[in-house]
Amino acid sequence: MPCGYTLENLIGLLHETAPAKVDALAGSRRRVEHGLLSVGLKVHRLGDGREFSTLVEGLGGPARILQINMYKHSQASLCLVLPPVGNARAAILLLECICHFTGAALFSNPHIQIQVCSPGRLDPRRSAILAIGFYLGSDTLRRYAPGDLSTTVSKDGCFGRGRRLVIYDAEGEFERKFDWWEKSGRIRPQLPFRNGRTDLLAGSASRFDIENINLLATLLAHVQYNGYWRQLGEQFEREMEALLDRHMLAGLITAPWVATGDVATAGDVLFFSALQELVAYALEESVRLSKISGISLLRHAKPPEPSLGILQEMQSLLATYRNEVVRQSALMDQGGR
Amino acid sequence: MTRAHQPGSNPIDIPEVVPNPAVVPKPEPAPSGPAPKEPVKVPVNVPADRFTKKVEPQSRARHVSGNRTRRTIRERPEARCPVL
Repeated sequence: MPCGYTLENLIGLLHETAPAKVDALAGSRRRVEHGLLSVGLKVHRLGDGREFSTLVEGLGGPARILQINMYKHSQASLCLVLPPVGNARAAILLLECICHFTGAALFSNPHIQIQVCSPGRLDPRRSAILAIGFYLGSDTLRRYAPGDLSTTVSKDGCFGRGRRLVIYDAEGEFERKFDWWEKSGRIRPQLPFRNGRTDLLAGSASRFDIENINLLATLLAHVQYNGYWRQLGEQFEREMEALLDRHMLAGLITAPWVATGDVATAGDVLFFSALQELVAYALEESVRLSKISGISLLRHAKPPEPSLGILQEMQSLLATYRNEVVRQSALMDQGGR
Repeated sequence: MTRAHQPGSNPIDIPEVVPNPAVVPKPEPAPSGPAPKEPVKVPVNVPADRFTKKVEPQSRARHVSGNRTRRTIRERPEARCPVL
């Protein structure tokens, strides 16, 4: 990702408004936690982005920071590319520091669209699982219009990225120097792929979304690239497929959730109908859950135990795998490595 | 679909969002910084003969300190019992 500046430049600038947070970030920015993937972020500002002007000027000006990158959301005035960091916590901390500096709320803000970038290009099937897992696991359920996923390269014949939730990189700069946990348990000091990313247009995202995407991308990438979490990732894939199967949504995985560059425009329609089906199902389930909690409030009684729906099942799946990653990595740290 | 529009700017489409009822909201992270210091408990020096010694009537002010409050009482001259 071309940034035009380094993380050290950014940290130096942010230090004056949030010194304690920036110090915490400086100490953890390269650290890979629990063998999870490193995290990159792009911040798309829809509408007027004047609150970022001081930051952009401080980093070297728009020509150096913004205009070197032709890619942005089609309705965005700017796309700020942030240097990758070693873990999701550091990525969240970095956004919080930028919030302090600019005064702009970056989390759950409809005018800020966050793109979470993970190293390694997931294949189309795993890209589908990433997008579906993100959508069902998010703390907000979104409705989409096709334009919401439109970027400056959507119709570009060269890149052929289409309008998707998941988007591949453009084979530009790639930061490889992050730890990768190999299947054997050995840690190598750089990622096993020379290039390639799988990005997710998370929209107005929360801290929780960033953590979820990082977990999902890690499990899926470790299956694809034979990493330490391969076995856990395979189990997760099976459980995700079973979950979709139970809810008659297994066919969604075959839709083109990511454009691989050949038939992007034709795939947009197929992808969008799959997304709409997922959205409709999730929203219907949210209404059911809200009704159950509403009834219990009216009766001042303990809510009846609802049969687990797709949203609760997804939460349970994410919690289970997050706990398992933390537990197993703690065992490794105790000497099992 | 919500349309956000300010005079002089192009309208932009903002996707609608609803909270996911299956997610239990986590509290916002507390501001990072040093934890507030615990109040230090200082033992009150109590004389060994506190239950036997008679207190002479007096009309001066005495200070009784508790953990957090400090109050002043004035002994009545006729009071004969010790003040604890």
